Amino acid sequence: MTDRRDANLPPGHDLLDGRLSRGNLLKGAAALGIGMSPLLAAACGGGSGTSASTPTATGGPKRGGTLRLGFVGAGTAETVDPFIGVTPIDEGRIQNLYDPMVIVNPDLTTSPGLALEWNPNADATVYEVKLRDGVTFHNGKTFGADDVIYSIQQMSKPANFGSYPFVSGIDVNNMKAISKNLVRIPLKVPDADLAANFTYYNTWMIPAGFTDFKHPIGTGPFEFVSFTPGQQSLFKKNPNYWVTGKPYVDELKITSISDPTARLNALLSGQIDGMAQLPFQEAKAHQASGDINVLVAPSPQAMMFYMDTQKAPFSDNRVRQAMRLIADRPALIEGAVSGFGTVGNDIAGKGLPFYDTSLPQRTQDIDKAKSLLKQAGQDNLSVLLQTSDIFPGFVESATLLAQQAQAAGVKVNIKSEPASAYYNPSLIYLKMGFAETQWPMLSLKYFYLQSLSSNAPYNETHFKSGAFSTVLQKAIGELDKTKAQDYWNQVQQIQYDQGGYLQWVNADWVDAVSKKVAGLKPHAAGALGNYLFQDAWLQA
Amino acid sequence: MTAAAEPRAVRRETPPVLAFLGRRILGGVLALVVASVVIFVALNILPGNPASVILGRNATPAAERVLTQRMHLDRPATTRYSDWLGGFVHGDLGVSAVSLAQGQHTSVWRQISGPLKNSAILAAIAALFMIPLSIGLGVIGPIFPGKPVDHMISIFSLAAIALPEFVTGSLLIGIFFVALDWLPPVALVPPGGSPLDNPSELVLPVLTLLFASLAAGVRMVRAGMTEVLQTEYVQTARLNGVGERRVLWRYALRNALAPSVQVLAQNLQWLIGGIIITENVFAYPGIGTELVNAVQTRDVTVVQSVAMLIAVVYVVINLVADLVVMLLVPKLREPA
Amino acid sequence: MRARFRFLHSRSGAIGFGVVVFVLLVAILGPYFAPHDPAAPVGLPLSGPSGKALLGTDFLGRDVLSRLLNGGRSVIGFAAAATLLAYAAGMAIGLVAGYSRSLIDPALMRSVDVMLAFPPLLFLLVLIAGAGTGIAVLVIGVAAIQAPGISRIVRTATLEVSTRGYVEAGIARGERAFAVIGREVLPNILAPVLVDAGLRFTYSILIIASVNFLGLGLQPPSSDWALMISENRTYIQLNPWAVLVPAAMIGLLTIGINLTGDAIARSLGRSYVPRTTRSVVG
Repeated sequence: MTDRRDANLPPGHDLLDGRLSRGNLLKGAAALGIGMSPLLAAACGGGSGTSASTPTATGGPKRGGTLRLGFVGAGTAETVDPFIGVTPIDEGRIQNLYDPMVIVNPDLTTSPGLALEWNPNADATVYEVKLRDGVTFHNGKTFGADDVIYSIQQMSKPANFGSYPFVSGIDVNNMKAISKNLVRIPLKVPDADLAANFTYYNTWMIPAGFTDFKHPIGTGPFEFVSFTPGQQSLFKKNPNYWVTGKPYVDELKITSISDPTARLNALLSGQIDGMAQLPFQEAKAHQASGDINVLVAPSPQAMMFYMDTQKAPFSDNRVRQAMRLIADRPALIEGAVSGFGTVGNDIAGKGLPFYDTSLPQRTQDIDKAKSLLKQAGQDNLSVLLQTSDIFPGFVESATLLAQQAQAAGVKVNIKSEPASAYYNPSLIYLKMGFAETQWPMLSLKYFYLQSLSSNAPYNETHFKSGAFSTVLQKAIGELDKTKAQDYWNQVQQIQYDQGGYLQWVNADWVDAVSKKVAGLKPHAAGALGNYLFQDAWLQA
Repeated sequence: MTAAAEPRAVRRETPPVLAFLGRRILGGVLALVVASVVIFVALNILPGNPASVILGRNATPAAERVLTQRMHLDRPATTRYSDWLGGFVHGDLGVSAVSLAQGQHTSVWRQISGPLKNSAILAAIAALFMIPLSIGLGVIGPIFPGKPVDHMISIFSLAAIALPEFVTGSLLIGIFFVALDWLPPVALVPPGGSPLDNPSELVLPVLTLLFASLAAGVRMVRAGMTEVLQTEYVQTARLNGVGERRVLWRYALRNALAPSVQVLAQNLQWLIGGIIITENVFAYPGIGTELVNAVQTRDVTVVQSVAMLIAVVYVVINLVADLVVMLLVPKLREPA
Repeated sequence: MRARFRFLHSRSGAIGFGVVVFVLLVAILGPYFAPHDPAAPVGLPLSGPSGKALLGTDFLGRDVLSRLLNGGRSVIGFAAAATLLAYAAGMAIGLVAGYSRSLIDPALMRSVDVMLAFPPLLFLLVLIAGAGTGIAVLVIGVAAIQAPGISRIVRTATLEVSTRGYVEAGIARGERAFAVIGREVLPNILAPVLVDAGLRFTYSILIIASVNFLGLGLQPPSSDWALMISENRTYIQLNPWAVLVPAAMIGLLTIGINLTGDAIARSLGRSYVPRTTRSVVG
């Protein structure tokens, strides 16, 4: 626990490095007098399975070997370009090739990554960002201000749809390297927490002048060796990684195995060492049998149905509201995710800062749904719901919702789309009228920038409202916490009343590793301990 | 099958082998041309623009226009057909439509050459076992009619016929992995690697393929053998005191074999059909998984080229089978 | 008439026929006996057999028994529809080809040969890639796979019969050729056609099940034996009944029809080529 990354962590972080369980985390937090993250408060309140981390080592981490992981694939759309990655398999690869300016902790608080300090001026329109020393890229170049400026300029290209919304408020042409390790970032609009824009993997750092994503270069724990989209990638250990001593394994092999049966079988047979997205029903059984380690991370991960607010029949808000009232959320959680999660309230981000806890929990109300449908002239509504087995729980929840909708006289026809097309924006993604989605939740700002702001790249609900965008802008720019909360409440009220999302669960991340794998800890930000494979080692 | 030839053909005129071969090749080429039309028509059967199909419901007109242009869909269908077929004949399989939709330019050949090799290996190994096994198992039954071994083989083949490949595959996984933990349930071949690097991963896919394709073959060989054993000359040979072993090997087997070759050719063809399902059960990175993925994403260029390749293999197997039969049964060498 | 049922005297024929009747009864009458709504969860997912759910629950907590009892109609219905359609098309082509004795015959038969030289599953996948997933595509596609083989059989029968005296006489009397063929030919070939149809029917079941497995056929929440197998396959360790019982139903039906077909063919006393589900196409 003496690595350099930890040197900049807040007190109490050591605790997170140990076995993460709700009990001792809470205790530790209280003892050290630090504010407990609201998320964990929420997560600890609602109850699903226990979080279990891989066992702590007997005799410390072992070095060497190849860590082999299986993910749901995304076909030829898979990429190692951080600015356009979309699916978990992209995330798993990108997070191990590159590094963030800001690290997200397992409880969703943040720590310094490649950037050490973020200092705004009085109205939050200019930031001075102090960078970490002694970090080198895989090609030997030293990380510095020029890389940050170049990376942000690349991110600001509209073609880089994943990163674009995070930097769209930055005046990219007037960024300035004050020194090798100090960069000035001027903004076009105020932003109270610019650092939060640089947590998600779509905004991680590439070296200045870099363009060849066939041979990616980052500062991350692993170096690129080979990559065949839709099949497999092989990375090797970065011997000069800035976190001393990590990674522990020599190689990281990530394979696309889209069929859930095959993925699980590969893990059980030892052909892979870990898999993202263990089917929830299996998780229960394997927790009981203990033949593999099930990683369960309570989190605000949002699983949602979404409706296109611009297209009939969902362009009528009454129909959207009716669908939200049709859902029997506890039954969905029990049946579709085997209880691994807490009830969602259509506004994602439960437990995160600025989440509006005052909105009443929406519950099933078939009568009201029927009357809304009648008012809308949709008594005999029949809709197509497009789902996919890209995330466990999707097809299950779709099937159950269809069954629940019958009670309100709504016929929901289900079509299961291939995993490789579901999140591919050049194929069907963002063109579906009624579908399902999943969002890792790092902060409200992250979610709204990506899905609901005026230039959101993943505007699944096609929600457009001038008033909404204005309030959102204000919420993002407000330095005063009380005022900011007020703006955020307005943002969420609009979504609660008019939005196209039906969020039924804050789902736990449920993944599995073999008994051989140690060091991975449940992490609220992402699957498989948020892909922190530099922490993992293989026991003999 | 009543046309079982005398063991030694008497007439040995210069057989018009070449003419026969030429006719068959011509027929094969003709079949492939028709197949190409069928494939092309099936893929363009829906009125409207394939670009919008690839882009899904509610594609934006702009995106559709761009893809239409990139896929040359603005050209007339006949031009597109002849461009495709012309390219195919010259070894150019075109560019993946999905990659075009993503603004990339991945050649179909690059995308499928690895999987094609993997599938060829899987099929070859399965065929290697299938041919002797279906002949062996098919011949044993009639030799011991009504004995337990005959019944066993009959029951086995009936069960194998009755279940689709994905069920037999799942059951084999259930037995050999879940229950016994002897064999790996998934075939993970790294890109650029060979399935032969890890032969144990091939066992269950090969067994699944065998299970499905063997059964029908065994039953056919069995019937052929039964019939031959009842023909007059075999009976005569027996009456003339020819040893039973000699009867079986010299007389019966050779004559049972000729029709069997055709059966086996058919079996090989089923094997190619079965491979599509089997690969998907075991996540085997072959042409079958590639094809199903292309069908799911509506990648028409990949589908049409893969389908055409498989059709070529099909026709070639047929040709080879005809050739072998012709060599085994001299009578067929005469013009029809 | 009694001769028609001679196949029941053989043991395998009787067993086979009994099995077929059993499975058909389950499929047809099953929905009336289902204890629960096949679409509604009745308990925790993948729980084992209990008094409430005799075969346990599936991956969504729905009653496996109720889904089993409801899941036969679509399996049998779609396969039967595809087979009937195949017969309608195949007979039309075969009759025309067999009777026309003009250029139409070789043209039709050449096309048929080509269709037969094309892997059936591949044809279906290509069609789905072009026309999309859907029941109609599936049924028409499976029919298209089978029609050529049927037309060949029908053509041969027609050729054979149409040269017989009574047919030619009938035609000479001014009767319509097809009427004659329908009256004289069909009764004669009824038994072999039934065998053929039975095998084709099971073939339709297998290929439709395979397409469902690939996710290109029926969509949830249909209760369908084939869909039940693929949906619950991942969880075979947790509640094996959810996979094994529907698989057994499909297997029994196929085996039963194959046994019955064999017995009928033997009872007809002709030199018979053993045809099975998997050899029926081609």
